[in-house]
Amino acid sequence: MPKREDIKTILLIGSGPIVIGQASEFDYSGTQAVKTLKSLGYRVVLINSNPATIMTDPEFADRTYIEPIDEQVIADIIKKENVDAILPTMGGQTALNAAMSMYEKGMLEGVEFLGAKPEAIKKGEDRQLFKEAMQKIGMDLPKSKYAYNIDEAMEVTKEIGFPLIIRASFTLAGGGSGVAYNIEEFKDIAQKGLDASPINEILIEESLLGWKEYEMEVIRDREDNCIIVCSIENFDPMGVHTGDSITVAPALTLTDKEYQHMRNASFAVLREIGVDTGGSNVQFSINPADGRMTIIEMNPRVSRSSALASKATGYPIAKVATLLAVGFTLDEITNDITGTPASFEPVIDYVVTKVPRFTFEKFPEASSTLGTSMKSVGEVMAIGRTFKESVQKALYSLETGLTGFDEIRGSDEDIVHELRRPNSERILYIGEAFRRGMSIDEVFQISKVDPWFLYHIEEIIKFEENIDYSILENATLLREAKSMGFSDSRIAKLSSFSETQVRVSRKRFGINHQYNEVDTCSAEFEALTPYLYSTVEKNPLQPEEEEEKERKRVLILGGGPNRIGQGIEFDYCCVHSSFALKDMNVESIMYNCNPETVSTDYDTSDKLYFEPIDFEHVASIIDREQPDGVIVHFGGQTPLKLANALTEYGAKIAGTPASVIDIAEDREKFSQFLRKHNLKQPENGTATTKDGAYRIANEIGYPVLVRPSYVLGGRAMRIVYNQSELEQYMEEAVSVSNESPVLVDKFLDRAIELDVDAISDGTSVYLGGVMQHIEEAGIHSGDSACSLPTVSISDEILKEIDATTKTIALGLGVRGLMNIQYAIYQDEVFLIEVNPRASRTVPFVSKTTGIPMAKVATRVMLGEELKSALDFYDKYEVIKFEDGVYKPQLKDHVAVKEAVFPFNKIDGADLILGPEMKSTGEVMGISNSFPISFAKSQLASKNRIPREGKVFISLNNLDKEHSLEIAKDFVDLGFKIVATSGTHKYFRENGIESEAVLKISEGRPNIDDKLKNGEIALVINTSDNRSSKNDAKLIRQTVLRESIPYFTTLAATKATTEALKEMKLHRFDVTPIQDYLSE
Amino acid sequence: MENRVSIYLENGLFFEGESFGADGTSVGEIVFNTSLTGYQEIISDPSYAGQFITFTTSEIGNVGTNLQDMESAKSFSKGIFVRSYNERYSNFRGEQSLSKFLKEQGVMGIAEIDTRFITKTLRKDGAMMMVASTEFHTEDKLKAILQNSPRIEDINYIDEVSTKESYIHQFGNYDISKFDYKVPNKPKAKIIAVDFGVKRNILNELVTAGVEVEVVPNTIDVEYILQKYSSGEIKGVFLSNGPGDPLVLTNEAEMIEKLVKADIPMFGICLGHQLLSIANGYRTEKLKFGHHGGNHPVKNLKTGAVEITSQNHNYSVPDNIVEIADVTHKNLFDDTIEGLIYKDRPIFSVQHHPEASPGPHESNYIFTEFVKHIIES
Repeated sequence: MPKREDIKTILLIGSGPIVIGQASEFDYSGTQAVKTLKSLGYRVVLINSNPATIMTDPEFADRTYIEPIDEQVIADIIKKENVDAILPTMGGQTALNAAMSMYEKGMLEGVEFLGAKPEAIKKGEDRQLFKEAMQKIGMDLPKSKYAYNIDEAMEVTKEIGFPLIIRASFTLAGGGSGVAYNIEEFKDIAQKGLDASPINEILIEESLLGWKEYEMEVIRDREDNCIIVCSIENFDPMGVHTGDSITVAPALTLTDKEYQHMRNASFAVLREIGVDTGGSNVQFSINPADGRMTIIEMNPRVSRSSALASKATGYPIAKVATLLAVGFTLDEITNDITGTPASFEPVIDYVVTKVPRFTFEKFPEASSTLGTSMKSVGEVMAIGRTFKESVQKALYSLETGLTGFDEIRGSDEDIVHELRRPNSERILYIGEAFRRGMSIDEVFQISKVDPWFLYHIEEIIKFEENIDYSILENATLLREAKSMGFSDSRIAKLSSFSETQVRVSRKRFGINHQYNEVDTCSAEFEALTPYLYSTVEKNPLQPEEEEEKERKRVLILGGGPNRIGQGIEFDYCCVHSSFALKDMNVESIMYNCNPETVSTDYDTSDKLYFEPIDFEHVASIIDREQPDGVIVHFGGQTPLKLANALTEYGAKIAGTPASVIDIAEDREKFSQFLRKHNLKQPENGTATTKDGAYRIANEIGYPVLVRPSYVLGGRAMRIVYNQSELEQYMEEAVSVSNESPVLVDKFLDRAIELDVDAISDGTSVYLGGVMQHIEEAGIHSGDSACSLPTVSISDEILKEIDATTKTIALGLGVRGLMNIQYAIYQDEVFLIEVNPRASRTVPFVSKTTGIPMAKVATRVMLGEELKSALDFYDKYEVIKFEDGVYKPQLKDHVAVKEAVFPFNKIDGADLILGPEMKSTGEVMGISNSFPISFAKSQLASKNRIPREGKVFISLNNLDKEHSLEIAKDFVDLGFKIVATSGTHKYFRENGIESEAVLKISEGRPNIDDKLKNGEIALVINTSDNRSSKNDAKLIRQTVLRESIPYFTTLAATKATTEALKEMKLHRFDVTPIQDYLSE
Repeated sequence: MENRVSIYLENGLFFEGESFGADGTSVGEIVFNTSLTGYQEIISDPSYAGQFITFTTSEIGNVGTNLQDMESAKSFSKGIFVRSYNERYSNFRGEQSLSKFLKEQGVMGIAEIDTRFITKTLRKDGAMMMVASTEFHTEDKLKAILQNSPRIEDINYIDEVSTKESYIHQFGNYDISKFDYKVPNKPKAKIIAVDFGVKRNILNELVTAGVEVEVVPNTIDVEYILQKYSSGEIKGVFLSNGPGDPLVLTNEAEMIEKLVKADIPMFGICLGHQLLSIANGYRTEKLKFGHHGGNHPVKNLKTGAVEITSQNHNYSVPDNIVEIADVTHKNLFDDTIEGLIYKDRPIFSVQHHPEASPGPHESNYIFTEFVKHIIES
């Protein structure tokens, strides 16, 4: 049956900000869904608070609400837009939970669920119902029992032996879950789980630690046709969250009998749960000793794994699921890649490896042991003809400095310990164990990683022995190494040659990468869409083909794995660049290795290469495609780092050349440039010794900001207030040397920071957005909330910003995007940083102003004049020329961007902010006033500002004098202030009433008790670890655990009181972005 | 090179690989199979007699081999091409490596091959003859061997693969919860299965569907069957799958023609399906590169359901057979006929493999339908 005609308006719920467990894969699925529904003629209403998504571009949905994903907000939208049906299965757990909660409260009367019905969602998600359903169809399950309080939980430990798995119901990415090996650990995890579950329910389960884990990606249509899109086998055995596991497709250690059993079981599960249409993911485990198979769980929605499965096979699960949801059956849908029906099961003639990317270096206090709660922030996928090639490609795709199975230092005991402990580098320890002569059986007994994987790793390590100086003269050996996936850089390392020497030798022997299509069908049919990966065959048969060139062709290098500091914003820019190329009728070639993206959707660009972003593989594409331009500026630091090498290689870098990037990145050159143009920057110096650092700090005066010279997202950056702190930093945090100098900057205390995104064509400049940070200088710009337009900056300063930005852009010779960070310190403008590339704020600015900056920049980079490029995309007629620069005429709205943090996911992490970036995502609040937009941004980031109650205020000494006005505001707004002795006394002395409360260290009942008892509605805690180490940290842990709204800076608190004042006067309205822009 | 094996394809492609199977020189037809699992079942499927199988799935040998996963007593295929051979395997049912298995079975194993390129070649140029050798390594020599060998169309493989003696099949289908084959229940009726190279799992499925199965050789005297049917001992006849070009099987077609005329309820799979067509006067046609895999969508025209099917054939029945039979199943990839029910006869047949093994299980209802069909007619 073709599409349903009885529904007109469909609401799609997005997944909100990027958090651990919910990354840009849901932008990928949501964008596919929006595009599909629109193409069928439905009126599509979208809600998503995340501005960095492609799906929230105003041209995709009919009505796009960049509003908090909040039940009342959704209800308002449904009413306002006359929504007939809701598609809640594309926006991860966020969308599903919001829809289910509203359904159960009766807020969705008359709105139909598309995809999965509420009953099915409930059955799939509620562990008890799921268990019952599985028992009904005879599925084998781990022994398990529910508990609703700690006493019940303790009872269960007697029935099922240790180790035990604890899972909290209705949480995201395994939040509130864990493995307990003893009673004490059990008590702790069980309590956390009970707290984390919105219904205070935990499941206590027989441990399947060491069992093999599998996933099946299933699609079902309304006629009960079922297919498996992809089977996935986990490298890490049971006990590690699948999002944190290395996974491989297809499943490799199942015979057909076992595979078909799993396939049949998957279908039975969907049928019993009642997933009428759409995609689901079913997880199984198998006991390697006797083949016993148990079912673990299922997700009645598209997921991270389905995004992976789509990229791994070429089969667009989200698109197909959307079509099925509105009435089509599988045989009525065409597989775009082959032109054959979509009602088949993809097969692949390669091996796909996914490796998660972690950022434990950001949270040194957190445990890096992996468990059932997800901790990774991103992932890479690699495609190779064999597992060996695939896994090695994945390792060097990670951009953690690996060239493959690099050597690991440490004692043999360390190695054994790390083999046993599930951790993010365990695969490297496995390699190292073989290097040191451990046997397959020993490694298997300790790690429980399936021997099949171990065989291959052992063979890789054994082969290393063959790689020595002779390899550059031995074509057979070199080819064999390449066909096993050894990178040029790894071969160089093992043979003591340079990477260039290896490449030259390789080319001399004609050992080049060949490119195979990802075609869903193992070449049975011709592939219509070029989605490619590289491989090296040991016995090559495929003749090298020249790529025919009909029109201008541009290569866009993507951003690689999501990580803190480099996330979805950069993928957004790459995708926009590709769209701009389409608008110019230029052939677009996308290059990336991150499966959780829109950029790697097969129909985003004319051509897609799924490849590691390193010199070897990029250069190889440049040889093959001979692009007329290479865009390195949109994918963040990853591709930017390649600019010099690619330029030397002869690639044509589009837009801003490498030499300009170099000036901006090189401190000396940059300082020179600033002096030449008479621009101010905070006093600074570069130290190559410890003493040098102390000398510089003394010269420029404390506080100073210190950091290693090469940083991404402010890693290892710190503000120090005196020499002893600096000494501690130099001892512990960095190893300073000539090769790795340490930078020392004057820290501008309480300065206001501005972020500017601009575009230049070399003669004129567009200031796309001047954003004012809400937090003061010292907090990483990526972690700071900001407002567009600015809220408290004088016209004079803004004019100076215009002029300075122009001077820098033209002076440097920027052609394309640039981002500048300024600090306003004592009414003077200081330059903090210039980045001649796309910034994290480009999507936010583009959404707020209606001018898609990455698209405009792309045209400029290919030689178009700025003015004409701006005009091309000036859909809302906002461009004006003023004070010598182009800028958008902002309409009446104000947008606030707020950062979203992973503190509640990373056990032990502290929520204090600083110069090191910690946020994983962002949300946007938009309205016609700054305070309301700020309040929306807080609601969207799950930090809902309470309207009344007690506010606990705890301040560091530096903040106290600035706090009186804010405290008074709280009192005037009807809040009661609670404070510990020091602050209480200070307030009393200044005539502000407050209730005294004991510090944790002072006895009971104390502030911790009040927080846990729910007596505190809001926490203002600016005290850092310096002033009250233990108390402050414990309070923050409780705040996190109890999900109490909090602010850790006075600036944000001030914005909060303003929001509260405004909320008394105005209603909290919802308006689509299209209306804001065309007002 | 150690284990050197040289290959020459009819289209002139000459290349080398690494041998991990039987030594020697062998001529056959090269086809590809896209199944992700079940290489052992495929290699031991008698329908592959005379053929080299190119596995598109790149890692082969991972789960080893075992005695349970044999689809016949021995393998009749000529050899296999794989990208990456795994000597070391990991599966709790694994008993020995694929290499050992191939050597025992006399099947060539050729590794380190760009099987994707081979597949594309077959897609473009069609299935073709080839020779592989661990003894001869020059193009001229191999070419000469190939030119002096008969083509697959000219060889009757059925006599080789069919059982020499009649027997009663003893097993039901596989019980995954016990990891063993089921012991049959008391049968509702008896049938004869004519073995043209039958896959064991067909017999298993028939037994599980409730019949006693007497398997007879392809050379069986048709009177034997007719007599058993008229005496009421058997209720129907099953015509099995098997290798090669059905048009060379004139004796078998004649036998089936007699069975058709006797109005015996019959069911055919694959070659059986094709022979029924030929016996009714409709000659089969050769497909360019055939259907070999476990992922082809077949639409059941009666129910509208799409079944993902196991496939292995190079020939198909002609479209004009609709003159005497109704199409019950259709391949959604290329619209070829996948299932027929004859208009005036108690006969039906399918082109795909409802017994799976390897492949999806959703088509196995056909066996129950057959048993129901013979009991009712």
